[in-house]
Amino acid sequence: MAAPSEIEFRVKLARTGRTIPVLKEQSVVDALRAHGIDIATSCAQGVCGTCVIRVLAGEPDHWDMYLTPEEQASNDQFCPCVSRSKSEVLVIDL
Amino acid sequence: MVFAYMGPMERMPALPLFDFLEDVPDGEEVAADDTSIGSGGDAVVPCSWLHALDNVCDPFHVPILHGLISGLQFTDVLSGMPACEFASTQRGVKVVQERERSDGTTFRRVTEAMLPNIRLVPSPRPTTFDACNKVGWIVPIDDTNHRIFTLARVPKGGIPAELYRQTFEERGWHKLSEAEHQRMPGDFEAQVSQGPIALHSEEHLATSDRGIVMLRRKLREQLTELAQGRDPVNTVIGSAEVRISVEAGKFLIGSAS
Repeated sequence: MAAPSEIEFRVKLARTGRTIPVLKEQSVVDALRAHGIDIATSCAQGVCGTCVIRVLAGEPDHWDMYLTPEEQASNDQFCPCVSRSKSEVLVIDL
Repeated sequence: MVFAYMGPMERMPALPLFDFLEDVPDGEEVAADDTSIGSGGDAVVPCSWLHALDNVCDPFHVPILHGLISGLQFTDVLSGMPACEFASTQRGVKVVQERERSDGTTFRRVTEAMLPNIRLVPSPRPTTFDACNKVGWIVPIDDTNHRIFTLARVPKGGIPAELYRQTFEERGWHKLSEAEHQRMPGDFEAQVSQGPIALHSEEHLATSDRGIVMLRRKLREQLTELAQGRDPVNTVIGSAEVRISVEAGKFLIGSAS
């Protein structure tokens, strides 16, 4: 079990209400996978857009090169393979 | 070259007029070519037309395929790794590739993919710096065959295929044996060997593939537009003509030290 200090932010799954911690050195995809939730990825570098997930609340920290600047600014989707969160909790459409 | 429109008269789109084909300098003329300039091989290319369109937005295959893998197929000015910017434009995707030269100048090469199937790629062969002077339509014959039709500005009497077709150790593709095609693969081998229709699910895209991803997204968006009954981008109805100011070309930035 990770110490709380290593947790950078949390993702909340809107459909089940589950909250999953994302560690500093872990991608959101890896964090979800560690909790049995498999997100389809291809490039895992924020390029291809395979993993894009809708964001329902919170502010993502975009690191991808797939979404346009306008799409990133609207903060309603993100690439969980590389992007992170500016808010403590990111509510995602899972 | 003949363009045919076979839809209802009131929906006839304007023919795009490319500035570099309209403003032709003295001593030059516009010539048509049906040998698939840019395919790097046969006139009829046995794979999906989308492979050829991907090529326009993939600047890194130039130094890798045409420089490292197969020996120098273009000019040495294109053999270095470029710094690239990928941009969405009103008509498609633009790729700006810059290479610093030893004399302090910067070589800028701009390629454009204009939706749905137009390639604006400055010739990689001559070393002169100028705006792009040819435009190619990547025309699907069916799902797994295509052919590129080109309009190019040439010196009077010039033949585009002789001026702009890729060579391998100074020979054309048709003069090479199969073993030589394997030893010196070009665009034709790279695109056809992916199979008749490349499976995107089997790709391993990386950050260098950003232009290709942008292009595919834009194409998919246009399919949605069409499905919803709207006109796709680059279709202008109700106007006699549309002028296209091309950004593609090869430019030298700065002055030599």
